[in-house]
Amino acid sequence: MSLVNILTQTGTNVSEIDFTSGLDSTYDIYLFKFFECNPATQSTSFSFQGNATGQTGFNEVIQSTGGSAYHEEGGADTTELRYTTWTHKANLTTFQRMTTSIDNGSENSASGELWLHNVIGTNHKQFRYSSVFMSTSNYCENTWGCGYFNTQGNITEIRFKMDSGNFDGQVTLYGVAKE
Amino acid sequence: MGVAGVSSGELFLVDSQTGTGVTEMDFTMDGSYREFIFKFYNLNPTTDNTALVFQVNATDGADYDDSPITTTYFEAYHQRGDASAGMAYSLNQDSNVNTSWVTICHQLGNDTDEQSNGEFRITNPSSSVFAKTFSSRFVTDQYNDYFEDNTCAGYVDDVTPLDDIRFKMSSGAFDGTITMWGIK
Repeated sequence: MSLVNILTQTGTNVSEIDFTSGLDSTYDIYLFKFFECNPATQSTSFSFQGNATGQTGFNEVIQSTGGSAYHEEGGADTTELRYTTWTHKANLTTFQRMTTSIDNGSENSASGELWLHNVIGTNHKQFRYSSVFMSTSNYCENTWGCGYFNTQGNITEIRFKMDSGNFDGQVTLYGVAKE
Repeated sequence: MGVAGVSSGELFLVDSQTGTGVTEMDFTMDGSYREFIFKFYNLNPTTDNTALVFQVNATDGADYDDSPITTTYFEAYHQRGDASAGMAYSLNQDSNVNTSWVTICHQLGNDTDEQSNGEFRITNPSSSVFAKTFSSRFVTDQYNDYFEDNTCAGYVDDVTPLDDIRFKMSSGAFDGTITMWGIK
């Protein structure tokens, strides 16, 4: 396996980062890595959606599942391993959350990755993601999940954004080569 | 496992260390990469029921003892005789603003056929702005005939750039190989 860097985009106080090219039949698997995404708004989630070829708007139908582990820093030391209804979706067209509520402190950010499988074809377009971040009120949190775009259209565009407000961060799209 | 200096697209093999009866393996992280991935192969400790742990050095430190780390840690386990199986958060393995050694897999067995394999990732350790997030996942033959899948994730809550990372057992020496990959 090797990674081929297709495009890196860095945003400062942007509302979204769009990838409108680079997703095609060249690779069976694409990997987005997101680095140090820091929201302007407190307690918001880093999210994505797709757009199928010939369609308008990032509003494809998504089915997904996911979970998280969290650990509160400091006195309470609260912990939990849980299924997260916050990040799962039942055939909804809203954005797919990859985190719960990110703390927007200056040293806090979310980093992680999103894998896309077979974006071209009539199959379900499956994805899986994971992220690590400090969530609101000093919780260390690890989220993960998977799902699919429930469309027979080709997913050739992906948008990343926060649920609310702008953000700083960097996202790179890689093609995953078999050799 | 590859040879240091070899690249595979945007994945670059930065370092590879193989040890027999070593007490630790140290790696230097520079600002050339946005993420490092460490791959662990066939780790076998000399001490039974020990843990694989790590710590970092910031550029203003030298003793792997002053960067506070907080983690989440959970495990899926299955006893070989099928007596027990489950999945749980592991309160005894996580870290809470800890400047000491941080566990990334635990209760390793030291029989000759027991081993741990896995990977550890850390994002942009050279950042002077953000805390550094990391995650790891290991499969482990435990000393007590349990087989486990250990997942750890967290952050080094230090905005000073990190330049060193050390992996070792909580007790005793170990055999094994660790490779360090950089992603551009």
